[in-house]
Amino acid sequence: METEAEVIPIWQNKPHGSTRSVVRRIGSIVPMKPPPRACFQELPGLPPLRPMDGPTVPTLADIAWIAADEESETYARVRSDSRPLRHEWRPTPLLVMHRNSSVPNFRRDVKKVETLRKPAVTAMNRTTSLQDELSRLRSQIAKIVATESGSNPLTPDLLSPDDTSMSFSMAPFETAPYQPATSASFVISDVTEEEEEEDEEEDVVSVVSELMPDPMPPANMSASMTASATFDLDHPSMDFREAEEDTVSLSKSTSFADVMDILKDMNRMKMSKDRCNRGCTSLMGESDSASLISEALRKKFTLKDEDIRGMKKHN
Amino acid sequence: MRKDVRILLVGEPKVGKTSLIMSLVSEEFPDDVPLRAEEITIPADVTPERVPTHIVDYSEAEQSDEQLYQEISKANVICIVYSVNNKKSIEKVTSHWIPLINDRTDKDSRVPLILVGNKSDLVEHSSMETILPIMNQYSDIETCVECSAKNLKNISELFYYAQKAVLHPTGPLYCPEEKEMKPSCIKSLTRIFKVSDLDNDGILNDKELNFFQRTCFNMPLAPQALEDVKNVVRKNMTDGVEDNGLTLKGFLFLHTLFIQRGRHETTWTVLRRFGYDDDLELHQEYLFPLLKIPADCTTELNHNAYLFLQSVFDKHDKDRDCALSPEEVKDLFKVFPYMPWGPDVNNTVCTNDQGWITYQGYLSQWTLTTYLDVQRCLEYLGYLGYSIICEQESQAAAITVTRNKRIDLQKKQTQRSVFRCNILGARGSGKTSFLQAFLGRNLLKQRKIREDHKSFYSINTTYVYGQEKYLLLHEVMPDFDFLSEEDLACDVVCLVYDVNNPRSFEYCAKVYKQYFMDSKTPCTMIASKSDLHEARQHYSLTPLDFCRKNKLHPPQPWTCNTVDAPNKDLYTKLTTMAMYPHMAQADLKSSTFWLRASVGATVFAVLGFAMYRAILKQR
Repeated sequence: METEAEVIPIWQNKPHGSTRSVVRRIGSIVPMKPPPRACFQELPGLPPLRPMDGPTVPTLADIAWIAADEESETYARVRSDSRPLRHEWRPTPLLVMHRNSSVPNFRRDVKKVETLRKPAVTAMNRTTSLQDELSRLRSQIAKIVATESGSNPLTPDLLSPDDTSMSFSMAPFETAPYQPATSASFVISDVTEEEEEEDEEEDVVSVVSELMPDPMPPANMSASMTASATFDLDHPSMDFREAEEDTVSLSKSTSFADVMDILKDMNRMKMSKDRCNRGCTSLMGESDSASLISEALRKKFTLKDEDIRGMKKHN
Repeated sequence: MRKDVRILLVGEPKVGKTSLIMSLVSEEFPDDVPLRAEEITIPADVTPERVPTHIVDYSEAEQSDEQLYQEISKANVICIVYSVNNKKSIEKVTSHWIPLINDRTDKDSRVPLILVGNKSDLVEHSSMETILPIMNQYSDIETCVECSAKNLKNISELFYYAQKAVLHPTGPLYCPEEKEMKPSCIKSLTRIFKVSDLDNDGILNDKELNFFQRTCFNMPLAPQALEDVKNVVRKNMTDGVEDNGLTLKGFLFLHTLFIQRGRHETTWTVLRRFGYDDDLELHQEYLFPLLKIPADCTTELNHNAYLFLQSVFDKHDKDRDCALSPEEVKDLFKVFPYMPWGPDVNNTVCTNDQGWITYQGYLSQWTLTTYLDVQRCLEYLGYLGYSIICEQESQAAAITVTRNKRIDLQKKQTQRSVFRCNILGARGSGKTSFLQAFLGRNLLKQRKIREDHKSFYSINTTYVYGQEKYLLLHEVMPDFDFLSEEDLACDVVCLVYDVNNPRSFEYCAKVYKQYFMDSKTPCTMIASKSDLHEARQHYSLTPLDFCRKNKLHPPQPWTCNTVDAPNKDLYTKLTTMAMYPHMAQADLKSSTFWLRASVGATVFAVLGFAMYRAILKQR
């Protein structure tokens, strides 16, 4: 009867060990030894993979630029410094010391100092540089828009980003609306600097799969369009400022300019080859790049509506 | 290196001390600041030098003089802030602040100072030219910095320099007036060069430079970088590079270059890797690492240590004669602050005909030092740079601690390689000769030894059942009333008496009865000077009877008055007794016992059989 049934605890009511199955029963009888298990043990006395103590210090490998460092800083002077005082500021690799001498240097010229950025940018410089950046971007977008209708989509490498955008090569990718399949094709460019950089990265990564000649699927286009349509070109918002700040702070920490230069060069080579292959038309010199862009936007919107209607018909 | 840094900001009111701190923390210029900022602690991983940092503000309005003095005494570095557009604040630096700080700190423990020129956004030109003479005048000032809290310019650089002034001071390294490194720094770097010069040819070749880079900076040196190093040195120094390697002069020049270019943290990294502390002395943990030695255990060098010592010998034996001449010995110990081996070492270990320490003798002396005084041995290994060259944690990695002697006796086997034998005997019984004969010196050679070069120890190798073992002989002074614990603790005891002296055996018998009759230590009697006429001993028993009564081996005759080197068999016997103490006495009885037993049994069996046959025949 249930009331008198014993309560068997959980650890006793299930079959366990060799009682679980016939195979296990056989296994407990057969005189076999289990194979030896891997056992991990920390070996004492081995140096750690990454040096964990202290910041990087200039080593004998850095002697070349140390010897070439002829003048001290403008704003500070250590007692033991016996160099003449520098009077105008030039970038020197002061705090950035991630130089790894085993990374191959593809650049022939020795003066690396120019590739490193200023550690601090004043507010004044920031606004002027932002404005320059903005007008340059606009003209490049206009170029792309002009050629977009006729020939195959060109890669954003035409934009030929300059050094400032190179410096934040480690910017995190925006994942949401962006699909890797559209890498080779052109993303309408109310792009922020991060996205543009992303294109660059994606291009490099998918070098083989790039250059899909067919126009991208409208669904993707719409996705990217909606993301960018809300962006107001004529009134650059705080986004640019933030992006620039990010670049400034990131440039303080890394200077993998060499590697990025390599990738950029590779990319450029490929792009220029393909541009010739496709025989693109010359770019229209439209002065009002903003109007061009808005024109293109309008065109895209109409295209999208037709396609959606078409798709709906199919489904 | 310090584990944390405490920065104090002082200066005239309204120069911007609080604004500097607030700008650093919040990365924007605050328009309203309190009179004094709270003490801020920045965790290690965020700071440029990876050390936790405390920043302390000072406000004349809020704090009393007592509080100021207290903060000054607690600070590791003091930043004297002035305003670049206020001449008065600059004057106050020299007229008020520097004297105040000097009064409040000891002459021996000076705190580094940083001169900070704030508000650089308000002036066109730099104030560095006016400040530099002040820096030259006061040797405590480590750095001058100009910054602007408002424009957020050079704020993090300021705190980087403040940390650097504490963690990598230039004071012990460099003298700016003479534009040269200080003598103690040169001495330390010279020693580092000598330790890193693995083949002792006076230059650092590519392999040695690579090893140096790897051990100091955990990074390899690319071939291009190697060439850069040599080119830079070649360009600036005539004899900096020789035979495609860096000379000592070039090495010192490199470090001077680093320091003069403001990168003295490199030199500090090198010095610290080789065991130097902030006073440019080898620090205690490097020379005297912790090594626990339980009771009744001995210490020996392990295989790696022997290999290292061999490499040191090879590197200094320039003429390849397997012996160290006095000049070579001096060269070997150049990296020591004092000479560790005196002339008595030549009488403790094997030497060649010229009296120079041989290769075997060299290793034996190291074995002796390890056995008798392991702390000193660790110190010596530290001076030689063992833990750096062999990439070990500390010098203690060179030592093997053997197991307790009781366990050895229990298991009737030992893994030790070094055995100690104490030699006791009356004055003039020949103990010293016994020691010297172990080194292969006959009586003639022994007479040439100077009195003040005498040694109470002697160590050499013997072969026991094909294994090489070290036997360490120690001569114990014949002070009968008191023999210390140390005199008695050993693996085997030798009692030496002079056959020609009727009174010498008495001492041995008395010592044996008092100390060794009941102990487990194997003993043996040596009848020395056996080439002389044997005299009758003034003692109740003859030596032979005494030994038989106490179940010792009969006294071994021995002499060192030979033409060639004296016989070594006795020493091998001693080592065997030390290795297998349980066999020292037993085989005296056991062999005869079993022989007799087996003979008796056979006789009994034969008799019994014969009787049986006889009885059967009768029937």
